[in-house]
Amino acid sequence: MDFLQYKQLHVHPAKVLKGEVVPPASKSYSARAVLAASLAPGTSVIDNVASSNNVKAMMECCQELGARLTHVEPGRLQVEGPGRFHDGVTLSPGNSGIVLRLLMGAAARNRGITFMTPYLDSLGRRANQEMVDALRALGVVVEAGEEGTLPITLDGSAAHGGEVEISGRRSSQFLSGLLFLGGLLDDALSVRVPDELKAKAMVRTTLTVLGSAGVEVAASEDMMSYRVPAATAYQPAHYVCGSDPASTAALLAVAACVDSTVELRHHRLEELDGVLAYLRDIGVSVTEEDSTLRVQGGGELRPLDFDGSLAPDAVLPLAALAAHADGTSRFYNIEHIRYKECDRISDFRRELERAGIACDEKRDELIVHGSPAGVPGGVTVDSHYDHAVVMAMSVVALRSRTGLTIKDPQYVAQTYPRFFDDLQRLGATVDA
Amino acid sequence: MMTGKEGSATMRLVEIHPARRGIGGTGRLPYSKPHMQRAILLSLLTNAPSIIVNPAWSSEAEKLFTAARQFGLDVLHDEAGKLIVSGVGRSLRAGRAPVPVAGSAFNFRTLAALACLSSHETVIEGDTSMFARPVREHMGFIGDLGGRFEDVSDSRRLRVRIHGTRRLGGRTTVDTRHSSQVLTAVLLVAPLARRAIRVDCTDDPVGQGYVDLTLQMMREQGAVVEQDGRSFTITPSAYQSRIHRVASDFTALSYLAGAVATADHGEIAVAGYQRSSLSSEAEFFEVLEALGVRAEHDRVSGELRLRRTSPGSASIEIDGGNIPTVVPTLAAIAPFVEAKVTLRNAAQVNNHKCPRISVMIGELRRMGCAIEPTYGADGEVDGFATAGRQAPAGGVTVDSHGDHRIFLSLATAALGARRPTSIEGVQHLHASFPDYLEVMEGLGVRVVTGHTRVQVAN
Repeated sequence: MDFLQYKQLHVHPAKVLKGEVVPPASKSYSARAVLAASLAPGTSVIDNVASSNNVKAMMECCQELGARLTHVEPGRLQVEGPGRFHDGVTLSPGNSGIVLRLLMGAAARNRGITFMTPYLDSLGRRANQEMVDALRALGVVVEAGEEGTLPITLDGSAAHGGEVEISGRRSSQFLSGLLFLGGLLDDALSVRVPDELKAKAMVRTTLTVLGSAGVEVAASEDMMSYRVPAATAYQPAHYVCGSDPASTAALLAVAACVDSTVELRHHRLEELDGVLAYLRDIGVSVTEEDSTLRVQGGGELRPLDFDGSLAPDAVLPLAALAAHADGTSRFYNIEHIRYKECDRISDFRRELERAGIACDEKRDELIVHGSPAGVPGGVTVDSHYDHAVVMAMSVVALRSRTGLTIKDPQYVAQTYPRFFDDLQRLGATVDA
Repeated sequence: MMTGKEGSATMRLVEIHPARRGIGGTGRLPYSKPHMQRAILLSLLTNAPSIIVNPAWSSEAEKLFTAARQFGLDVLHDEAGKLIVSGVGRSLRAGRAPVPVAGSAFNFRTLAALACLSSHETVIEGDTSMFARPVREHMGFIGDLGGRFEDVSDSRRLRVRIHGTRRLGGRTTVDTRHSSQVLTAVLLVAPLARRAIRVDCTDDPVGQGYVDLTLQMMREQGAVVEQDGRSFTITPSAYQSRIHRVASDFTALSYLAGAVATADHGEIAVAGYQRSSLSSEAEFFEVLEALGVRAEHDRVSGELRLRRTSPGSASIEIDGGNIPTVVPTLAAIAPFVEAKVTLRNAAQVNNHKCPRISVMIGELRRMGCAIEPTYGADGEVDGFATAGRQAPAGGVTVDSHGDHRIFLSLATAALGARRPTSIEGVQHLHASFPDYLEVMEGLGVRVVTGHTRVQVAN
């Protein structure tokens, strides 16, 4: 059954889950690698490349800009960069903030680049003013909607280097986009983050990928200042993508929430600092051997707080798990997750409450009052166009009394197209 | 057009004056109807929002859009030049009311195929004109792939009730001798079937360009289609969200490019030209260059500039096989090219609304052009030949034979004649280029419209 073709799905409660599962490849790393490879004249190879919708959107945009992409074998993508991206191109980043923000940097030396999205109520509402201001400071002519919303048109005929500031409060993606642009400029580029940088792990991924492409960015120890030297050039490279953090975190929570023995065979864990320790501390058995994580769940869960800045993609699945714990758990340092596909604090809180879970929120906190008596379920919840909400609400449903109906579940494919297939393979029941 | 008075008719004539003072300025073109139709259907079948840029609204497209809305297509945003809609994937449900298609066989066939994916009953309803169209005869694919249909027509309406299935899949054979529409219909829905679908065609499809367009747009959204000769195998998948940039109608462009070739002098621009990736369009641009019309497209501004240069050689051979819609235009241009021009391999163009090659040769000769038919191995007309630039007299009335493409092509030739040429059949322009006369006036062409009552022979 192709779960992605239906407007709603019902996830039934599961008694036992058992089996092996391979999390999909990292969309975060894959999207950066596809872009860096497209910017390098010559042939690059990307192994274990993700097939999620976000990465497909990046691939399509790079093709529109002139790159030639070939799946030479399953999971292996060959990329031939055109040398210089085409002018006069309309790009759809789909519903992906990272695809949009990276490309706003990487295409900012071109003329007549227009970004538009059909996701009016999601990416269409997300502000990009920080990036618009920074690009203007670097000589790029930018037309954009209010607060830098889409559609956006760039003319980078007069783009130059220099010094620029970019806020990291709402998202680190703007910073990553500017660093990608830095590798294309004739002059050196210095970028300073004047306020705070929540998602440091994602910036590290950017630096790793740029380094592989020959763009050596000097970063200060506190990760608040960066310098890309003058006349840097992207070089072809061989990239190997790790496992997707959001999907891996969701699978860990799935396995932890009901009586299970599940083995996750991952390619490399990324951007998941503190997650395994958190699971162990709340009472889940997680053992590691080489690249396999063995999870045994289903027991009593203890409430525990979590610093969401360590692993932003793990917040929703861990909060879903906390709904089944005996007490209150606080997920803090997470204001920036309000600016994702949806407001992952307020929108997610509303869906948790709809499912019968008591919650509170603060500006940068989600507070879940778990109940070992169990979640009633039996209602319809909304995905808010957000893969993270779909997977987290599935975690709630699996340990609920009657399951949940999830509206617009197809958006799980932004990250993990085979999520429901894998749930079913592990023993869960999902139907349209 | 018959007036009801036996033995007489009102012919709507348009007089096109020679463009001796040249042409210049900027024109606009309609966008492609076949792109628009497929963009609507693919948007409905995509379980996510899509954008249609430059929507090409014709009455047929409007009816298709209304039907798509009945199946669940949601309009998120509608502004000039940009439409944002959200489709439903397999969750298609038309409700109890019949889905009207009026007199459109394309809409009937494609919506019937959509209904096969729905787990609810759907009634598709056409008007009386549909009884004369071969639609019911070509619905065998429904049963072959696991659905059912019943004919529930009455004397005024052609109606079929379709019972879809969640287990759609299997193998079917489609008759492609006279139309590619059923093939397009089955191809479009096939990726959403539960099981792989194999479609075998009885013949090389007529309208291969339309099939190519269907396949190209499907693949751009992630469909997996393998072709082996006349067979297609489609693997189950899902359509990805997309920005559909409806392409400019390059056949309409041929009349403006033709005007650059036939007018005394001048160059023009076409605003907002959107190129497609169709091989036929690329081939047409190559032919234009060979004939001495240079087209330069600025991707950033979207402007296409057309100007006359010298032909590529003294003798130009054109294969018309992949560019059938512009063959009549090329016939109109050929007598004004300073080179010998021969076009072959276009016999199928003579099997269209009218025998287009033969009609063009006949009407161009009435205008005073020297143009000869060419013949294929079977002795049938398959093209034409001219022997260099001419200055035909014009000053006659020519007949479009009820065919908009003939009207437009004859108007193109009329710009190069010595005297004004009257052309019958302006009422058919709505089929492809409703604003043609206004666009030409904007480029400096003198156009005189009027009705003339004439006696017709019984």
